[in-house]
Amino acid sequence: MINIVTAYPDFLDLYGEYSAAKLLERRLTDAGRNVRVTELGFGRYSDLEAADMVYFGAGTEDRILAVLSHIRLYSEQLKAFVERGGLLEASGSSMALFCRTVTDTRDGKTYEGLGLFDAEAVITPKRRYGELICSYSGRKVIGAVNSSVDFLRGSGQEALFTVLWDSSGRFQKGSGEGFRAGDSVFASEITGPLICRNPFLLDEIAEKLAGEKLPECRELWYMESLKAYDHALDVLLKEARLKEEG
Amino acid sequence: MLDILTCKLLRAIGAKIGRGSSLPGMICRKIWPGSLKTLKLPEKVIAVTGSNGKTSTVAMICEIAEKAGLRVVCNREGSNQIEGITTLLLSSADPRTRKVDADVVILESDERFCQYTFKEVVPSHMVITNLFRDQLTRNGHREFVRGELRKGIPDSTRLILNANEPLSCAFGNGRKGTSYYGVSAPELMEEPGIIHAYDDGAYCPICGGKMEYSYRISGHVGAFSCGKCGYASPKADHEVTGTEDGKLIIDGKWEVAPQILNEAFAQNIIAAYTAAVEAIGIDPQKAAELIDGIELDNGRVVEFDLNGHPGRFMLCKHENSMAYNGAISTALRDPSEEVTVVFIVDRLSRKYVANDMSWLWDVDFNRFSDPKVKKVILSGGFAHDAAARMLVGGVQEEKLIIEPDLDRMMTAVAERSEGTIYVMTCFTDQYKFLDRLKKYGREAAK
Repeated sequence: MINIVTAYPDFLDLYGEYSAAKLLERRLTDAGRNVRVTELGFGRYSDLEAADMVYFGAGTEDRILAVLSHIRLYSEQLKAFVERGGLLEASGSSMALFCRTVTDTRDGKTYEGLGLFDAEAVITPKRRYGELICSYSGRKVIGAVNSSVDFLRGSGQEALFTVLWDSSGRFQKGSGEGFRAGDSVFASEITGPLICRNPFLLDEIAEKLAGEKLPECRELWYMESLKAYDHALDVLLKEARLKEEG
Repeated sequence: MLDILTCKLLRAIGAKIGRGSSLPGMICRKIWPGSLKTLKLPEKVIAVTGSNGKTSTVAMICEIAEKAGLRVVCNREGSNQIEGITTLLLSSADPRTRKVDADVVILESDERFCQYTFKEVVPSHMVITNLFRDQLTRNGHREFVRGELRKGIPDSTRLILNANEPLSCAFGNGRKGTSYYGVSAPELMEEPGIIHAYDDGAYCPICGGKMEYSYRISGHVGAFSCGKCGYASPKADHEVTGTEDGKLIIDGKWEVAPQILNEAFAQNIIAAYTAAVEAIGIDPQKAAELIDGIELDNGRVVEFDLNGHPGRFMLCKHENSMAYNGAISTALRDPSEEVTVVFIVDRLSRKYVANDMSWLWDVDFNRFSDPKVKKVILSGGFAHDAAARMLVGGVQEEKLIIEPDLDRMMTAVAERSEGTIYVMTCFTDQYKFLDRLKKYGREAAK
């Protein structure tokens, strides 16, 4: 049985984030695995000892701060989960939870984060939206950053993706996006939702959970996801070329 | 004087080249930045803002006011940012007296632009229809929009709020003179058992506590209450209390025939009625008579017939799940036993780089698994995204016709539809269907 825990799914619920767990469940089930999805949240306890993956989705800035305050109840369990190689993924603004500190410039307060990443998160009053093409393991990752959080990466912190193009200009070409810690903790500001829009990332995570290479998925939903990826990448490459041509 | 004359001239010229709504205001604001503030406005200036329903609500308030014999100045053609409103008001003013020639000014305003517009034009009343997930590539999220909108509500303005929408309704907390409207008609309540993709009513916008609903109209719109801080739907001053023979019953006594009998239209009607009564001061019975049978000619709904199948084109908004959810509910309530749904998603924005498809996961597409829905035809460049989302949501594979090419989509609609056809898309993509429908009709007639 593969146990996936979705953290605060009805609270960190922006940009279709709930679908990441749904797709993982579907991909693994189609490959013949048994999957259980449980929820961790306000008033909902989930046993992280039995978890194989914990997923945090994007939320509003105020909700990230509320979760930061509540998740401390689980900080020891989460650390133990990560130490034993459990897969932790954070998407969008929830990346802030795992930084060393979270500073809210709206009131000047700084909060201690869970410290899995050598980075500082800074909530600003300004929102930015950008569509990105990044590279990861020789593949192109697509999606959007819709956020008002700045991330200041410490010198020891490894990035997850390399930015090839950002429609907003916030990320320079060649700069890093997202964070990773070892082979099991991943975070990216990119939503889409990330693994829905990038089926090869879905495969990679599903295979990590299954512990082996999965047979190729021939289900219609998956084939449609591949076509959707091809179309979206084509559109973004055209946008990038148009912008670069001025 | 020169600002007004220039604006009138530019508007007349602009109208000939299709740039008459915003551009004149933009130019005048550059030359005379303070001119809007010095106009003499009538006592009644009603602003209407919110995520959904503002254009229809404005159109209805205008119609009631005009039928009541009042002279109305209104930006009913849209142009709801400060440049468009500058054009409207300067070109409606007398150059000598600077007086806007109207009994009532009705202004639709973009939620995020209220903070600029209403620094210069202070409305006597402001209707806030709701705050939904809308254009998230531009707006981020609802809480961000609420923060931006809050900056645009002048202290002296009296609010008219939707008692059933928790986030926007909270603007009335502790604010004197606020009026509320709502819908409590059992026939318009959401049937139990609908599983929504998300619930923006799960947590209290004031304290973050868990919220409960005694009924829901659609999504998080309904009679809410927070078990932690006590924030709850206020008592509505005016409400749709029931329906009878296809008519809405207002305040338990006035019968009003709506153009479309659904929850969204009911909310727009009661918002407009409340503004007419509370802001303009029209007698309630008279307001009900004037709003009865109003037909908005705004292309939001187009009825058609295709190869013997009755059809209904419903204009929605991409990146706005509530708009699509309303259309889905309407399709599922269609009296016929079989329904075909056509969903076109080709382009999100004419202005911005916007290819984000995350909003598809917020729409209740899982409801197309209903046995009444026989076919779902998907078209446009992002048809595959829509297909993946629907399949993961449980829509049966055999129902789907995935046809990104728009011409082939039209052939599929004409030849493979079953029952009543419901077409749902956004204004950015509407003519991709409507033009083909016309062409198909012409070719069929040959």
